[in-house]
Amino acid sequence: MRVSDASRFEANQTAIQNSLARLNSAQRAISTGKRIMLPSDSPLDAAFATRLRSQKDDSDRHLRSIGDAKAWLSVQDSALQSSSSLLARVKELSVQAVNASLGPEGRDAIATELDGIRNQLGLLANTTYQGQSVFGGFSTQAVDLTDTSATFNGTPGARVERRVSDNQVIAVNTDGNTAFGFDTGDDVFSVIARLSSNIRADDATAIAADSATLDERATGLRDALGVIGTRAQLVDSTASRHEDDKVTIGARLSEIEDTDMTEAAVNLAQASQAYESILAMIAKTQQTSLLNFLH
Amino acid sequence: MIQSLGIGNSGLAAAQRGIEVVSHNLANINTPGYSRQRVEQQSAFPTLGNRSLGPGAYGNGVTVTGVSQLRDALLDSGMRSALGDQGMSDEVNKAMTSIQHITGTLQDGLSTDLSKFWSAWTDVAASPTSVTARSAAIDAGSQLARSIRSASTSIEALVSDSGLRMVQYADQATSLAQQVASLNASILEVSNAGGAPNDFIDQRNVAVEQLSKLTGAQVRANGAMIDVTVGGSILVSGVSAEAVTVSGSPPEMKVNGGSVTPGGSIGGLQTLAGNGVDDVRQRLNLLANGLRDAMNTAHAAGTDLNGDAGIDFFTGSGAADLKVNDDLTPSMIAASAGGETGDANNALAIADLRYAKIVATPTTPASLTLTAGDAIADIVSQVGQKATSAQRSLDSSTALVTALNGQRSQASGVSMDEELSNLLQYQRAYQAAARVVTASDELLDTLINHVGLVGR
Repeated sequence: MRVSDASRFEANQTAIQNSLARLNSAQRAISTGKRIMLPSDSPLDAAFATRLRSQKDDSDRHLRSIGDAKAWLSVQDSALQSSSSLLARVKELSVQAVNASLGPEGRDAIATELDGIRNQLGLLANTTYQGQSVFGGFSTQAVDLTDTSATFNGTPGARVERRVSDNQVIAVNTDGNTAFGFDTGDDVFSVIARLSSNIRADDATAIAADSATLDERATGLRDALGVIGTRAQLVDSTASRHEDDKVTIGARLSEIEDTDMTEAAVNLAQASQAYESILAMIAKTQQTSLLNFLH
Repeated sequence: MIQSLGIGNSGLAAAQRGIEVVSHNLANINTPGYSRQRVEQQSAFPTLGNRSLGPGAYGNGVTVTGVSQLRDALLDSGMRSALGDQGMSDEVNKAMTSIQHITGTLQDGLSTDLSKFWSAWTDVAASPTSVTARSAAIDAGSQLARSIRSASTSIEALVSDSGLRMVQYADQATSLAQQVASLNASILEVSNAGGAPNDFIDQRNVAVEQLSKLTGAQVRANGAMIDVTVGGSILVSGVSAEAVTVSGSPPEMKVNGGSVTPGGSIGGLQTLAGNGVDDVRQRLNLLANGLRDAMNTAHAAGTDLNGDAGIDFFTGSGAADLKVNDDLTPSMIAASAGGETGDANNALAIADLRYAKIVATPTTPASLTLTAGDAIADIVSQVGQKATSAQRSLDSSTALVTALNGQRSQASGVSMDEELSNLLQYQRAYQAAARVVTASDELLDTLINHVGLVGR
């Protein structure tokens, strides 16, 4: 093979360029920590990573909704728990009221306490979270309570929904219309008001009937509590599934996108050694020509 | 004796010519396209007195028959087509590398903007009366629209830039064609005068190779001259050259006013300015229109804080001018499905568009088969594949050019060591020929000055 000076120089330049390109990509892999930076580094992996990343974003989004849903549920839980205790107290008072030893003052005291409980229950029914009534559907107030009447002010059957996973939407509100017995036509507030006036009137038969109705209303509240408990459990398990998903997706993403540092370090060492050898080789061979030996 | 003086003289002349050619080679050691030259010499016609041939004829010295060029025509033609391929894939590769950036980086780009947009609607669903959440949804929509718009702008800029560069390249090609024609004229003149137009041929070769890289030009012989054709049309015919122009929309290269199908850099640019990025452009438009239609339909199904039905969320007619409706204010976000202000079920439905197939593909533009996220992932993989394949074809054509260049350097390149040893060879030959002249001179001296002096 005949070797010309031009072909030697070109071969040297190509060798330097190729070696530098390898060195550069090895350095980039380490300094950025990423194996693929641009779609062309690996088009299929890039599209896959894009999809994974949006799945991860979805999980984050669902976790935010879940946080919100949990707050809704816990607000209702405590309101309904308190309401249940109040009803238990009403039950207690209705038993005391039929005690024959009780005089008019005693009955009046009980009736007054019942009126107070009714007002408290009204406040609980109008519990809001972030300005929105948790029992009133889309309205800001669930129950319109006066001394003589109680009306449901919300949207019966309304569902305030949160998406908690890709294929799951749950209602986070409780319909006050059923929870407080408005749908029966004889809501818990009317029962207590009637009970209070019957106690004042010392009508034992009516008190017993009211007390029985009250038991039914308490069942309605407990049912609502049960639903909330089930939802809270569902939301919790969904949340932990999302957390798991995020870890899995993160690991998968890192597998696709991130540099394997050990491998990268070995590559860098190889590339830099190759580069140095080429430079040394060129420095050595380019010094010599026939000119060195002519006089 | 007089004869040997003449023979010595011919040796001196041949060696001198050899040294001249060595000097010329060494001087041009770095000249692009230069092919090394050699003195062709042969022994002079043997004679005997006046008779040209016959018994007793003896050698007459050396004759220089010419100065030849060491080049391989096959390598030259291979080089021209490789350069055409390289020129084309180089342009496509540059364009496709830059187009990759339209989707942003993998970690933070169009896809992130889309996720943030859906997330903003989830926030509206969580607090439907919050002005902050509503403004955030409008902002996220603006950001998403801006990213899609800027992707579209990048593509259109690439297309129009390709057209502009074609014009510049066409001007270069015209001047190269004129150069080839004028070199053809010089070569014809020198050959007709019986000379060796070696250096003109080298220069012409350089010009033709540049033309091939620009336009994918082919060459055919025309006596001592060459003709250059592009896509079958004659660009240079002997001593006359046609003009290369670019006109039309999309821009097309024309030779002497007629359309041709160019290769090379101009060919690559013509594809880019024509339909080379149509697929990506179409996908972006389908994404923009799909998002717009789905959003507007979903938004119209809801009721805003003022009790009115939702107005269009996005406006525009494609990726180029997609934006959030200028008239939209935070209170006009139609989050409610039933009309009550606390109802956020429409916002929830809009956030759920994330799962809906709302974007069509270029192959079936009539049916919506992709979610917006998948459409973006498809664009990412499309531009990635285009860039990868452009890079691959550039790599392979560059490797071919390098290999051919190496082969050509082997055959035609100047080797300093070789020339220096030739120099020594000719130098020695010169010295020897000079010695022959001196010897003849001494013989003549003896004959003229020292013969016949007896008895003086």
